[in-house]
Amino acid sequence: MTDRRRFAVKAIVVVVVGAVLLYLPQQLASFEVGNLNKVICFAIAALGLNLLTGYNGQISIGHGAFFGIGAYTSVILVADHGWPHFATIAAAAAIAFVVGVLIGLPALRIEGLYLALVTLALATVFPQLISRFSDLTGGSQGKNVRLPDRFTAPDWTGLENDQWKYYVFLAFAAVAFLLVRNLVHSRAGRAIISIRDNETAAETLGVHSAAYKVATFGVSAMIAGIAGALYSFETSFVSAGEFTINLSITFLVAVVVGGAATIIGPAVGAFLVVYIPIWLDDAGADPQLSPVLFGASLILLMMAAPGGILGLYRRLVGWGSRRMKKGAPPPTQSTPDALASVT
Amino acid sequence: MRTRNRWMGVVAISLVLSLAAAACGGRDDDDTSSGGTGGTAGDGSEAAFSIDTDNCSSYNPTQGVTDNTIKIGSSFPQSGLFSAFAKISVGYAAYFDYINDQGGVNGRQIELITKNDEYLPDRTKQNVNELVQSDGVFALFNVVGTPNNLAIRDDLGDQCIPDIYTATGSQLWGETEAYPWVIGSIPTYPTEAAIFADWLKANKPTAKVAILSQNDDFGQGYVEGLKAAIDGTEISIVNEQTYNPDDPDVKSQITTLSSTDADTALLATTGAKCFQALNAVREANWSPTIYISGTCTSSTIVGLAQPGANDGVLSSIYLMDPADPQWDSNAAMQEFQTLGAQHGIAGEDLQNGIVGYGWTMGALFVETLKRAGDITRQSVMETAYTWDALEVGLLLPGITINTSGADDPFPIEQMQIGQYNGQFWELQGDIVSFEGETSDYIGG
Repeated sequence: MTDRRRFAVKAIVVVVVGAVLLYLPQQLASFEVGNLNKVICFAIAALGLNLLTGYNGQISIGHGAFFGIGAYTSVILVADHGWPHFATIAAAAAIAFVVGVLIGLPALRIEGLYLALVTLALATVFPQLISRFSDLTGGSQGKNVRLPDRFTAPDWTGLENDQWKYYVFLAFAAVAFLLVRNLVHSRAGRAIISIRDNETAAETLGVHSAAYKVATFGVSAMIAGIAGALYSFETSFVSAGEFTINLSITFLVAVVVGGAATIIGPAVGAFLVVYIPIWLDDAGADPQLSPVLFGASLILLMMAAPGGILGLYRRLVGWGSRRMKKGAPPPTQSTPDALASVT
Repeated sequence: MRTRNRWMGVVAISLVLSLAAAACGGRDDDDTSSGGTGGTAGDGSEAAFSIDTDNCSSYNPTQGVTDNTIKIGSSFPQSGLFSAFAKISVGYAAYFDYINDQGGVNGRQIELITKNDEYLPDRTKQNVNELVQSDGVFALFNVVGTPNNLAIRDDLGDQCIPDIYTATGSQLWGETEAYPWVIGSIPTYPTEAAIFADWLKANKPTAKVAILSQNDDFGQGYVEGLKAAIDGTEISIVNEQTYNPDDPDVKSQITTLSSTDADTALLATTGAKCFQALNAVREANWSPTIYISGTCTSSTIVGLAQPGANDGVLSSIYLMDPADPQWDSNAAMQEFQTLGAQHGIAGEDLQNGIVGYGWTMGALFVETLKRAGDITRQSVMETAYTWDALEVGLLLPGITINTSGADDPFPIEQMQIGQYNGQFWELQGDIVSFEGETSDYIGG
C-alpha cells in the first residue's frame, strides 16, 4: 500500500470516527452523554499516565492523586472563589505540574517496583489529606458546586449542558492527544523512549535523562490534572471517596488494556474501564460479584491480547499484511503466536 | 509535505461539516417543559402546608405514574463496608409485593428500581441522574446515607422531584424552607444524643465521655447534639476521635480513646464500623458504658461483633425488634412475620430489625400514596408533611408519625433506650418524646 493510499485510508477513518463522535451527543440521552464525558476525562488522564509509564518507563500508581488535585483545585476555586471555569483548568494544570515535578525529583533515585511503591504512597495519602483539610475540601462528605456556578452551556450555542461539556472535553482531548502524539514523534519523544529502553545508552548518546524524566513526570501529572478539572465540571461534586487508590489503578488498567506506548490505546482503555462495569450492571450482575467479574474480564482480555487492544490490532494488521504478501515475513514482525512477549 | 497538508485540509473541512450537520439535528428529550402549576393535595385532606412548584426548573407532576404503575427508585450500598443497609430494601420490597398482590395502590402497581452506590456520594448522584432521566421514576425513596442525600438534594430540589423518607437521621433534612422536597424518616442524630444524655443524667451524672464519630455531618450530628444536651451538667467530654467512611478500620482511634480516663463511650458510627469499633473496644480491654448509633441496631451489624463485645451496649429504639419475644403476639409483628414470609423475606431476615425498618418504610410510603389522593409529586410530598398520630408498620406501641410542614418536618421524634443482651434490644425505662423539639438539639 502506497504512502498516499495509507494516508487516505487514515484520513477517511479519522473523518468517519470524528463525525460519529460529534454526532453522538445529539442522539444519546443526557446521562449516557455523561458517561461518555467520564470516558473522555479518563482517556486524557490515561494519556498522561501512558506518556510516563508507556513511553518513559516510569511506573506510576499515583495518577489518581494528580487527577484529584486537578478536580479539587477546580471545585475549590469555582465554589469558594468564583473563578471562571477555564481559568481553573489553567490553575489545575499548573499545580499538578508542580506536584508532578516534586514527585519526579526523588523518583530519579528509584525505579521499577520501588517507584511504584512511592507513587502508591502518594495515592494512599491523597484521600487522607482531603479528610485532614475537610474545611477546605469538604472531606469525605464532599464539596458541591452550587447550581449558579456550574459549568453550563452558553445560550448562544443552543446546546444542552451535557452536550456542551462533551464538545469542550472532546476539544481538550483532541488537542491533548495531538500534542502528545507530536511529542512522541519528535526528538524529545525519541529521547523519552530511549530512556525507557536503555537509560545508560541514552545517556551516552547525550540525552540528559534526569531532566527528561522529571519533565515527563511533570507533564504527565499536568495532563492528569487537566483531566481532573474537566471531570469536576462534569460531576460538579468531589469527595474523598472517589479519589482513592482504586482510581489510580483504574488509570493504569486503562493504559495497559488499551495498549501501553500507543496513542489511541488510552482512549480505548478508558472506554472499556468505564463501560464494562456499566454493561455488567445492565446485565443484572449481583453487585457483590460485579468487581470480581470486572477483574475476570480484564484477565481474559490480557490473556487474549497481552499488548492491549492496540497491540492485538497491530498484530492482526501485521498478520493480515503478511497473508497478503505471502512471502518472506517482514524483519521486525513477531510471530502470530498468542503469547509473544511484548514490551 | 504539500500532499499531506492537502489531505489535512480535507479532513479538517469534513469534520467541520459534520459538526455543523450534527448541530442542526436536535434530540428529543423525555421531560416535558415546565408549566405545571400547583394544585393542593387530593380530595378530602386539607393540605395545611403547600409546596411551591413555580420555581422548579422543569416540574413534571406525574412522571413515572401511569394508569397501572407507579415507578420509584432508590440508591443505597449493595456492596462494600456499608452493604448491611441493603437489607432495608428486602423489607420494603416485600411490602410492595404484598400491596401489589392486593391490587396495588388504587389500582396501580408499585415498581421499584434500585441501584448500588457503595455509600459513595458521587455514585449516588450518577444513579439518581440515571433513575430520573433513563428510568423516569416518580420519586426517590429511602436513599441511604447522609453524604449521599446531600449530594443529590440540590438537583432533585431544582427539578422538584421528591427525595422522600431518606434513610438517615441527619437534622439537615429539616431545612424545609430551602429543601422542601427532602424529608427524612428516622429520629435525628442530635435527638439520639439527647436521649443518651438524659440517660446519663439519670444513671451516670458525672460521666466522662469519649467520642468516636464519622467525619461528616452524620457524625457531627451526634457530637453537636451531645454537647448541646450536656451543657450545664457534670458530664464532660474528654476526647474526640474521627474516622472516614472509607477507612478500613478504627483500631487506632479506639486505642487513643481507651488510653484516656473516659468511662463512657459514644460511638457515632455506622455500617461495618459499628462492630469494628465494638471489637476494638474489647480488644483494648476497655469497658466503658457504650452508646452506639441507632443506625447500628440491626442484627446484621451489631450482631457481627465478637461474642461479648456487644453486651450491654445502649442505643435508641423506635421499632419493635423482631427478635424480642415480648412482641410475638403483637398484631403488627405477626403481620410482618406472616406476610413477610409470603412475599420473599427469608427466615433469618424476619428476625432482623433493619428489615423491619424497611417494612415500616414501605408501609409508610404506601400510606402516603393512599392519602395523597391525586398522585402528583407535589401532593405526595405535601402529604408527607401532614401526618397526625399515624401508626404504621413496626413502630413501638405508643410511637406515632407526626409532621407539620416546616414547623415539624421530622416524622419520628419518639424513642426509647434499649440495651443489647446479645440477642435483642431490651427496652429500658419509658418512651421519651422529643415531638416538635428536634430543632432545639441542633447545635449551632
